[in-house]
Amino acid sequence: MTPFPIRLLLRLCPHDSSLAGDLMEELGRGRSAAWLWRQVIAAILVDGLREVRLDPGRAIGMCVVLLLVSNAAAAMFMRLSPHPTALWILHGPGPSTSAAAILADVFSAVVLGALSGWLSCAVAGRLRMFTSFALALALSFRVSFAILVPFMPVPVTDIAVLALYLILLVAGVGVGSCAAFWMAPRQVRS
Amino acid sequence: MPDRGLLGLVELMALLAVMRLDADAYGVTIAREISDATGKDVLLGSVYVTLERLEKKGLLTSRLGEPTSERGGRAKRFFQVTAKGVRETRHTQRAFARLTKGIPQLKGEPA
Repeated sequence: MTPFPIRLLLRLCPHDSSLAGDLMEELGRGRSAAWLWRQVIAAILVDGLREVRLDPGRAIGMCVVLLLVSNAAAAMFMRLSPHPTALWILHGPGPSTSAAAILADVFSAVVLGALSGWLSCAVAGRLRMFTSFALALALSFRVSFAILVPFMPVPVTDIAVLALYLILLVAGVGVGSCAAFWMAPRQVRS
Repeated sequence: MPDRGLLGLVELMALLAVMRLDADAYGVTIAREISDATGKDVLLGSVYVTLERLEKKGLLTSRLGEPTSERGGRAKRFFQVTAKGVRETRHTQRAFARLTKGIPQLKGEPA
């Protein structure tokens, strides 16, 4: 059975079939799982960078489109929802600004960022999967940080809050990853 | 890009590895050859990127072998240096030789 990292590589970089075969061969010679993961992650990153280098104009154009779409989505989200983070910033702590509400708010921002990035990529349909995936993830960070970090009066020493915030960001990355992973074959075929 | 542009160090190493391996030059063996020479572990993905770049420049050609079960039914991609590749390698090698010639710090070092 093909190991998961190799399936992931083939899903994200389907043209790397010979590389996948090489990795299988080396694995059969006793290479460790850590070695395999390192090879696969490096191959995916290198492939993504090569893609951007091949067509930087398109990558920059897509960045602009993604920023516009995600900012528009974030602005709409802030208008539609009772934004606990905004309330906290404007009026200080209150009944609707509990830690759970703020963390849920951060999570929503991350998910929104990932999904809006992914959606705009899918609509434009101009970039291959990896770039779309990377930009969507970058945007999920961009949206959540843009909304929160400049205003959040969280002391850096408050490790628990920062840790929770980071965990939720990672959850957002997970959402983007799953979306990109399952979207990959269709985008590559197109 | 000029026809006689110098090769980068990684490109040069990849070409030399392919030349040394002759008919058995594919991803794993090329990476191992470079790794043995440099004493450092090599990322297979970056080796492929270099090989593909050299192929685009017309310095290498590649062909697919037969799929094997130990590779999960995937074929090896064998590489071969073209005549242009040999010329470029020689050109770069001579440039290195000229640069290193007569440098006292490099004399007496073991091979």
